[in-house]
Amino acid sequence: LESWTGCVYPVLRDTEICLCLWLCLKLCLGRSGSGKGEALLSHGVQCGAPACRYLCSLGLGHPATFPSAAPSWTAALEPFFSQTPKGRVGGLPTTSGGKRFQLWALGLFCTERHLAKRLKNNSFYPFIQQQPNVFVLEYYLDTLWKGTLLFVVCLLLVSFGFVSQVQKQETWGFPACGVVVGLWLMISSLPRRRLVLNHTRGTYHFSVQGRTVCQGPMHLVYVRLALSSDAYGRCFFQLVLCGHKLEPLVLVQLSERYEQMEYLGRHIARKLNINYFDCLTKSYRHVVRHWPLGATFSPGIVQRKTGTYGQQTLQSDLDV
Amino acid sequence: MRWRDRLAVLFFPEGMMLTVASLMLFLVHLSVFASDVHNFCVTHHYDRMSFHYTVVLMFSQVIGICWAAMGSLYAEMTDNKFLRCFSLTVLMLNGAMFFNRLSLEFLAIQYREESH
Repeated sequence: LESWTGCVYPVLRDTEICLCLWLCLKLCLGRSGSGKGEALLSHGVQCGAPACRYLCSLGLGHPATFPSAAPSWTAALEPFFSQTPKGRVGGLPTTSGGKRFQLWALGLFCTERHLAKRLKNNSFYPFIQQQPNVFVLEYYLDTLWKGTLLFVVCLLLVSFGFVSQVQKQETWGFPACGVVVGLWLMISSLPRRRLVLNHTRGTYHFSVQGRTVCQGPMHLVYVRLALSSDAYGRCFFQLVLCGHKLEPLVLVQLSERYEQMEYLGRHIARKLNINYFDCLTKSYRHVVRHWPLGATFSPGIVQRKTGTYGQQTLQSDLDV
Repeated sequence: MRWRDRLAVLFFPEGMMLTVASLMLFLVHLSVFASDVHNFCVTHHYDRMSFHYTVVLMFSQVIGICWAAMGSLYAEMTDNKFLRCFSLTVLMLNGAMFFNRLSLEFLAIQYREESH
């Protein structure tokens, strides 16, 4: 994976991979003893009952063997993901000034439900659909508010002299250093970043304040589920939009619900028509829509059918 | 990305920024060290040495070493030989400056201001 994607969001070493694979399978299969309400998804993993109800209530459809009754907390999620996608088709995002800071809230306290709510309002979140095959994302890095906060706080500390001297040692150097670092972070994050996915030309384009950083083929941009584990072996997942020479954008911060994260990741990748990768390097859960140039000529790689948005294309996810 | 564009929007590679920041810190520490050695050995003006800033100085030396190490890690991931050599040199300079500062503090420990 690393060889052709270039800059890949970090993966774990072998022992951690085995441990987390075992734990992830345990998470997925662990509720299999609860009896009713289970069905086999197309990728051959038994889905636990709460996850089935959640996925069913999202309305994007699964085989009818799933139970129709949903508990109260998933009832709130039923209006999400209506059958007709509501992506905005408009001109340049001149009126979407507030949209540029939308990623800051995601980085702070986002769970899967926040992302699901935002996806309800904008199907191509976090992008805006300019033309049927062109998606644009304009954003400011989150170091903008962090740098500004650091700068203001340290400036106040220095000017009011709260920590200027401790036990005859001059310690005003600490907030002074904070002022310099905060100022640097603020100034370097001020230029606006712009990521354009152009499917008609098959390229992506990343620029900073109008100056091109890189432009490349579509197979180098992807949505990835990243895995971290703590010392006790609990797995936490992050959904990241990343690419070659791109700044990784975290869509959902640490979450323990693997199926929901995977579902959201696959949904986003399907709407944007880019690749989706699972947390493990070797996995049958990758969804590859764009291959590196020349890779499609090797035997064993079958081109996937280009599915439409309304179609249940679960079976075609295995065409690898 | 061309260097003119990088300078215009301040979009530098992260490893390079850390190495340059630690190089700036090294230059600051070098000037403070030179002035301390001058006041300790040459003019014997012990009251003009940097005893009041020891805590801040040691902290910033450690931060300089950490930043140089992180920048060197980023540089090792690229295949640019110049960048790798440069970041390793900055790391070694910061490390050497740390040990110089430590030695000077021990040599000058008797000359600190007494407070009872």
